[in-house]
Amino acid sequence: MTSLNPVYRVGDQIVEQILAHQQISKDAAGRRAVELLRQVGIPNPERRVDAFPHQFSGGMRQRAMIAMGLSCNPDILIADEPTTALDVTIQAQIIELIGRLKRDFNSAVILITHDLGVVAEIADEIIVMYAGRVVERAQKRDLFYDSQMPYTWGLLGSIPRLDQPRPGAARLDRRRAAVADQPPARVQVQHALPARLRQVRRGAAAREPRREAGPPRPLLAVGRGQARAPRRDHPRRGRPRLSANGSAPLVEVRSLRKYFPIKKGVLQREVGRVHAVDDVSFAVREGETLGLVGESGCGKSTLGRCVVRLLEPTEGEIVFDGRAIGKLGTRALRPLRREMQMVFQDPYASLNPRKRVGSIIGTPLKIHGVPKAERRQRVQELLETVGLSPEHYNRFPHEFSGGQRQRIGVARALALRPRLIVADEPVSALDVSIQAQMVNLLEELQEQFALTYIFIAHDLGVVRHVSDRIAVMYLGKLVELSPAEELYTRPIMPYTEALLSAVPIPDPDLAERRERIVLQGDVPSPIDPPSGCRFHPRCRYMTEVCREVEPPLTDYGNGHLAACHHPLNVDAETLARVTAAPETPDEAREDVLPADTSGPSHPVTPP
Amino acid sequence: MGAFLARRLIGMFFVLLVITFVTFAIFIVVPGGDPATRMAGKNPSEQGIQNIRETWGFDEPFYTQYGKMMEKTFNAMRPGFDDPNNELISYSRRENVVDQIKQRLPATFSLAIGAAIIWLAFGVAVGMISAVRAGRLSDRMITILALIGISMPVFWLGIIARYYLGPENAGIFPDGDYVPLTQDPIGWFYHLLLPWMVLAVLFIGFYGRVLRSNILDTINEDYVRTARAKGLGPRRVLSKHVLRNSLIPIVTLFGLDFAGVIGGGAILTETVFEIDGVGQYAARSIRTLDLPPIMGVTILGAFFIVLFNVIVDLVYAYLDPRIRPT
Repeated sequence: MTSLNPVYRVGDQIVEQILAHQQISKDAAGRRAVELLRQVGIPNPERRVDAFPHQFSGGMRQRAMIAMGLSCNPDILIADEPTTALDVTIQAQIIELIGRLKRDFNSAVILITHDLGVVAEIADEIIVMYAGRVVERAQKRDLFYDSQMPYTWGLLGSIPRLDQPRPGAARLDRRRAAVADQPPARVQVQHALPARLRQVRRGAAAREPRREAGPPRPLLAVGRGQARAPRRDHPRRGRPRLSANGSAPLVEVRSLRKYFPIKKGVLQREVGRVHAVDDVSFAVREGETLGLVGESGCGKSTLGRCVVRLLEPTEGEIVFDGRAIGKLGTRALRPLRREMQMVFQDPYASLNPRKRVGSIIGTPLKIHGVPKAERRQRVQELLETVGLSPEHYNRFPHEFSGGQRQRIGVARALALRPRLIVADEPVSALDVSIQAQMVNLLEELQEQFALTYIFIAHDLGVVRHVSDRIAVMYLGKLVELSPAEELYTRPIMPYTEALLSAVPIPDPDLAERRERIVLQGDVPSPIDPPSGCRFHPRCRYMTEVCREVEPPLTDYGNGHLAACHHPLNVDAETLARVTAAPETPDEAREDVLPADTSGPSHPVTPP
Repeated sequence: MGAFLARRLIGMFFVLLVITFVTFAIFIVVPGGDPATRMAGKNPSEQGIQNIRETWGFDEPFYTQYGKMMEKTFNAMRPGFDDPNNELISYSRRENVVDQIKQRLPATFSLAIGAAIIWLAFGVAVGMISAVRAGRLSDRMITILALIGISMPVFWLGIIARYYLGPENAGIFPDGDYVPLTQDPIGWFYHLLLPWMVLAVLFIGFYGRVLRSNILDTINEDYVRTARAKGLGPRRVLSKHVLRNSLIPIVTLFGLDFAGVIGGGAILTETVFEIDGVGQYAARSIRTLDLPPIMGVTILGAFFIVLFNVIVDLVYAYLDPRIRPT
């Protein structure tokens, strides 16, 4: 994101490169820059050449970088993680763009990425690297369906897949079958591989029954059916667990709004507001995981911070364990801080580099009055709980890898034995295989401590894996709330559909077959959000009513709520029922509570 | 932009208000600060002191005195103002303070501006060279020299330089004194050269160190990598893409340092080289606890500090488009 110099105009930076290599006039170079920006799909290139990088969105900056790369008609374009920092929707735009430019400019592209989905979308040939060496080189289909390398299987197995319910049984069966048929591999890759993968044996060893080790397991813990069973009767601080049926919500958010004022002029008058979170209601039951997804700038993090009261909501109420906490002061909140904690996004920036691990994890304990002698022991226990060693107590954060640092962040959040953890993009900054470990850890901790999670992420695959229910946000609004599986099989809101479709699937055949909906443009400004349905300017089903009337969040049965005038995947009966019963605000609030998940999940039955 | 300036001007007013008030208040509490006793001379009679109190208005409540002093100070700045009874007069010498400061401003400005040019040019050069050659012998030598420069007190360096390079020994430079620019430009330059360098040494070392670390930070930025990938030469990468981003913190330092030197920060240099500037005037007034001149110099210094802060912000906006108001 910082690959453009912030102090020069975008056009000038492109011109600079053209002039460095081509004998043409400055004017001609300027015209060429405009032309390039047009080719990479920047609207109004004549005006936008004079913009500074900070006036561009992330996607546009990446387009400008590509324009710069193409300015001298290169034979090879090397794209180093070109979509990593972008939202899925923007990623889809960039992938499409690179594919198109590859044809138009007739240049070869070397794409460096950790995202196998992106690879499946655009690569012809793939090289897998491990510890500085090329460990596999293959055509795309050969690599995805007939890989020779255990490391590659590990990579493929660690991706939470969007097109399958949970990291899929079918795929793994196929891979397992492949294990038996292949000759043993020579390459040693065991060291950095997660422990679970080492159980995979090949050739003769694989054919022999190794009952005690069990069948090879994927990197991610398998479906929640078996993983979460024990936690039902887990005694938590002596408190009897609420029965799953009809339990009161642990957190309830009612019509929450958070606006940030924009001040201007001599007297710093408020001239506008950023509508970061705008009238959002939902509830999370104890022990549940609520996924929260949406593009950047849609208010996910703000919502999460409001829930743990790092921010004070502008309006609305937050009820935690039956207590309204929306307006409590610092002092009144202090005892509640024990109950709710956050895991932050960037493990590199969110740990103070000058503090030792022991002090980072121990500070919450200190604040809450745990005596010094006990603190050290507690911290060391916590380190073990999150899979680190107690000897790490006196180290500094820079001595750890990204995954380990995030474990420290988790240990800090766990220190006070909270009941609720808001995890704000806890795995986004990590490598794929590390992401899988992290997700496993979070799930294990949830079982062990009966935690409730609000899991914020832009990666729909990870969210599907961890969540019981998923909330989709767009421009400060909750636009869809659904049981996790249902959201992926039966999205109602077109925005959700587009989000899902934008995620690259690490399966070349499937990627080719499916229809992709590439949303155009960026998320509009939350300072002045569009009228009616906020998604209407980018929606392909948009009609007049969308522009004028804001759709209410409507219950389509089975705890599946969506706010849309043109719901997808809804049968005529349900639609008739929903439109027939205009709801009162009170009812709407009731609807927001999770439906009984122990009941049948499908299909929607009319009353 | 307009709103920004308006806000800063209002801020400037309050800063000056607070500073002048604090300066005034110190003279009420400081021992021996009563101007009437001091003005009455040796062995004063009670009646004489009382008379002075009444004529100068020292018997009035302090806020009235403060208000009058402010009024007198700003009267003198009004164009065409000429009323000897309403001017800010120093207690010890009975001179018009504003006139006195005005007389001395050219010397102080000459000293400050010349030194500033030297320290900025050399500071940036030193910073760039040591950043480019970071870790090598030349970088270490420059680092040592910079630290020596920072550590040497101006009064010591000034006296040594004046003694060994002045007429008594080497005879390269004249012995202190100030020659007005209008009178003799060459003499002006010749006389100021040594004070400029002595004053600049400290800042050169300091700026060089700061810029070096800024450049080394900036050089690792992604956009510098982009500039190299574009095929630009190392000189162009450094001058166009690195330097402009590294200079931003230097601008803050420079604004404050320069304003500080004008507002009395060159007291030592002026004293050592016998330049009769604002700094020397302030030093002399403090010795006699003479409130009006001290007040005048304080206002001058505070005014320049605030003014240069505003200028720094404007230069910031020029250097970094991200903070320009949209």
